[in-house]
Amino acid sequence: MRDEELKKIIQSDKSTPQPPKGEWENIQKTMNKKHAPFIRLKRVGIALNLSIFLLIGFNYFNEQNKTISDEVLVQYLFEEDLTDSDPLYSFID
Amino acid sequence: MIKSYRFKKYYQAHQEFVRVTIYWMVRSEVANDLVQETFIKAWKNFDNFNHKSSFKTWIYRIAMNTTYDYLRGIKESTTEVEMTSDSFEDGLELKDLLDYALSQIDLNSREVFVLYFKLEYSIKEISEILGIPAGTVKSRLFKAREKIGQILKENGVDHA
Repeated sequence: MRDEELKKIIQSDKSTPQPPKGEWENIQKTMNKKHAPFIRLKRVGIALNLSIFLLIGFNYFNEQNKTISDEVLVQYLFEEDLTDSDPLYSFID
Repeated sequence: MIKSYRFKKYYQAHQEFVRVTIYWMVRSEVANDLVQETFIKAWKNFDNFNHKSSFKTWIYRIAMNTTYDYLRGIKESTTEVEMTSDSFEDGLELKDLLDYALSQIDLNSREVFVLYFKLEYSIKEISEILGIPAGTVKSRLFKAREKIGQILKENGVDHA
């Protein structure tokens, strides 16, 4: 039998089944199921990192904007600081 | 999400090709199950698809590995497809005749036969897809063509 004849016979067979309804959805379900634990872990990781970042940022911002109380200011301005006094006069009370 | 969207596009473009290829190897409704299994395996390895070959060639290899695993698994548990004494002219369906004829050749020859006669690839293309020399393709094709042609002719099928 010649190739062309055989090809025609083979091509005339149309018994290939049709795709079942919802085939892609079934595949997709399995795709998501297999990757669900990793997706959850990824999300938890991102949330954790974001929280830490916000916490550090918040604390830093707070520290920068801290105002000194009046008592602390007075103490700072009017109390003698003997730590830097000239060693020559350190005997004076 | 972009990755699964891309994969869906590949599925839509190639599911028919995969289905025809697998069906002509197994010749039963189980082909649909094997198609699903193929695409699920492809998804698992999608990150390894490096575009060195086309997606069609890549998914074809996965489909054939899946099919071969299935066929090897049922080899011992099923009996050969038997022919009835009916001939094509006596009402034997072409489908049944092809089922029988394909079961009479080994898997490697069957694969080459399907690629050449059903999917109409050239010898050179088949050689590239399978990664075997063109001479090997020709010899497998010769074996398959002779056997199947003979069976069809013996049963009164010599034209479409």
